[in-house]
Amino acid sequence: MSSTEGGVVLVVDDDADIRDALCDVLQLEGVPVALARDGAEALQWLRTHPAPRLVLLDWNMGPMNGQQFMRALAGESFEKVPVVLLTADARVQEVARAHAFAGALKKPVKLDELFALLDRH
Amino acid sequence: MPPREESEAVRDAVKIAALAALYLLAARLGLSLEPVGGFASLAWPPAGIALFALHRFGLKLWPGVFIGALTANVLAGAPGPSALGIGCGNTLEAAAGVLLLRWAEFDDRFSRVRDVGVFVVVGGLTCNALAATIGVATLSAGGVIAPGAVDATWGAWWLGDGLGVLTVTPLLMLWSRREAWRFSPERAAEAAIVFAFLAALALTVFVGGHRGSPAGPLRPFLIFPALYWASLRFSQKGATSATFLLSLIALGGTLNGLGPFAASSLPTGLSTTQVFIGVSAVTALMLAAAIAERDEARAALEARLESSRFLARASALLSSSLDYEATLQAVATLVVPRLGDICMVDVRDADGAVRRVADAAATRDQAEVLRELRRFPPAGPTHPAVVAMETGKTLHLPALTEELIRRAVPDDALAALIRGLEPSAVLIVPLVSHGRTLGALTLGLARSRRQFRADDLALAEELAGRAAVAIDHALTYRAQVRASAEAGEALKVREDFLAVAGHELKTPLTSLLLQVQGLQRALGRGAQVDNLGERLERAAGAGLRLEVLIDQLLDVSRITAGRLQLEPEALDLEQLLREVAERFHEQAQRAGSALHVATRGPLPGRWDRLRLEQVLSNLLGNAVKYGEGKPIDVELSEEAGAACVRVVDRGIGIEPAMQQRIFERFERAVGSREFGGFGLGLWIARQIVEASGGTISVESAPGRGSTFTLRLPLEPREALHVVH
Repeated sequence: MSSTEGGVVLVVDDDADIRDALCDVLQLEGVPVALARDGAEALQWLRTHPAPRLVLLDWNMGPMNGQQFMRALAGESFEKVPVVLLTADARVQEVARAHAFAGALKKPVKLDELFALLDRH
Repeated sequence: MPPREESEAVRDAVKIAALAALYLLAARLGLSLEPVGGFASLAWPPAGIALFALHRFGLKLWPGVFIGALTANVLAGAPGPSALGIGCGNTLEAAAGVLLLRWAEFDDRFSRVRDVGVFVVVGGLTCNALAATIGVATLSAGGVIAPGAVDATWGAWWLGDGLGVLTVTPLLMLWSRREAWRFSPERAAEAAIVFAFLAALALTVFVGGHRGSPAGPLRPFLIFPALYWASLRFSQKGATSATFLLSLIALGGTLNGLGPFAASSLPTGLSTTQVFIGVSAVTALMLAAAIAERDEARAALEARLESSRFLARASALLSSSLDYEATLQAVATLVVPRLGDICMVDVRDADGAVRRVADAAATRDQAEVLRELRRFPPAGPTHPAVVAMETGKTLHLPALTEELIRRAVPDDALAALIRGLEPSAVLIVPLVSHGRTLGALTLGLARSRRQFRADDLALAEELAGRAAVAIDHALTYRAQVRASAEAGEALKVREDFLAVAGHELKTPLTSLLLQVQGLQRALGRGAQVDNLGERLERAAGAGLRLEVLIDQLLDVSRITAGRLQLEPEALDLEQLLREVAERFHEQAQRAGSALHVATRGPLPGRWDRLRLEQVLSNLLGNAVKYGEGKPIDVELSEEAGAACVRVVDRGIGIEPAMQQRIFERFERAVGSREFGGFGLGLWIARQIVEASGGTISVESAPGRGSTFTLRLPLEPREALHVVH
């Protein structure tokens, strides 16, 4: 599956600039994008939409942060959705290994890494 | 003449009369013993009595000596002028003796070998020569003695007077001293035995023996063991008493033609006896003085040892803990009653405040008063402890008079408490370490006849020195602990800040790089990019956001280094406010907040345009960020010569406890991760506003929103360097 095919990528980040930038680059590559401002909005979106191709999840955000989102995800019908962690904090990446992430991207995000991940999903 | 002087004079007259009578009686006794040349008695106790009387009661008693001597010689048949001359000579003998002893700083306790030596030279060798010379010259001039008898008469006179002084005066001087002489039953028994032994020996030697027995010349030496015993065990009084007892028995024997010194003529026998008694007297006194010196040296050594042990205990307490308040209390308890009945320790803090850290008292009542006294740490320029601390010198008040108390402590309540202690003497030693006065140690004697002695002063000063060093150490240690805690706190704040700063800087950087890389990628494969302008705008926006953050960091470093420079210029605050608000319009709209600006026309003044913009942007940015999409009002008005900007939001608000802290560095009322930014904006804003001579404040209630008020003087003061 190429990065330009398949379903929607859900971007979850509380920073509007990051959301917009991710949205811009993904759309530029023909990837449909949905945006959520925090974990709660993301859950809401997931419950009301078909499962996305991938969730790009910011770790440090509010009110519902990445960790809370991951806990809430367990038990939902869409719990198997691949989630890619998006964070600036190297230490949190280590912590995040405890969770079932499909991958992790460190901010600032390298586009090649992002699309390499997309190619796999 | 006032009554007091009158009674004094009467008393003196009585003393003079008594002295004259005593002198006369003793002289009659001496003259009854076959005097050489009719007047030079070989036993002349009056010389000893006269020296003692003038020494003990003063030279003013000289008429007693004169009258006694004159009468005695007239009664003995001396012609008027000769009797007058002898009277003068004998009076001069005693007066010169007193003056010489004073000059030589003679101490009549005979407790030093030098005192015995001085006494022997003055009384036994010198002054008797004066009397003998005047007496013999007078008699010779009057033709009472033949020229051929001058030598023998002078010798007998000299010897008689000298021995009278050596045997009688020390006895009277020592026994007339007012001092307690308590004896345990064992000591009393020993005294009885030694004197009985001496009496028995003396009687055996001087009365029991027969004239001319073969062992005769050796027998007097038998006396010495008993004499030494008395001197060694019963000190000076024992020595003189033993000598006196010996002289009575020996003279009695010789006068009755008994004992080893009995000779064909009474004068020969008497002179031998007298020389023996004189040598015994001096030997016994010397021995007793040497023993006294030894005892005194031992006592001094023991006192010093005791002081050392005391100091060692105090030092151990002082070094036992860095809690100097507790150790000083333990030392105060140790000090009482060794050094004083009450003890107080005051410590002066770096800011000059004096506080009582320890006190101790010998009795429960005194402790009660000291508890009250804690309310009165030393204060006021006349307070003795303050004086001691100011001068850095020990203050000794040997007598605490009412006048002194009133002068030193103006406070009536304090003076009453001090009076309640009935202090008799006070000693205040400053606590000085490395030239710094850290407090004072106050020692007091209450209702006591005791005084602070020189060794008490030395001990107190030594103790104070050690206490000061201990306090100094404790203070230094505490300062270090505090400094390292503060350094740790500062380090933590910095680490936290760096973590936040890293995150905050990466966010706009991420969006900037994403935009640029996305475009690169699209352009790289020759794709058509829609709304390229918008995308570039967003990339530039991220770059600007980065710039704002970096500017904040630079501001912090500039302000912290004291390099915030304002460049005031003439500007219209209304216009500036509208410009800034305009810039936030879109952002506010996106957040769902309506932004209203209310002004009352132009408001000109002189401010730093860029810095003021920065402050206004910060306030508006916060209002949008924390406004929860509710309306935001910006108002400009003029109040009491100041321009007043209010930014009112109706958002999440700020907890009361946080309202002051938000203006501090690295503080933010809400969790740092949930809202972007360094948490530096308001601190920087405050620094800028304060440097402009203005104020910034907030009123807020959680859940109801915040109102930030900015007041800027319309006539700004000279631009100030920031002091933070």
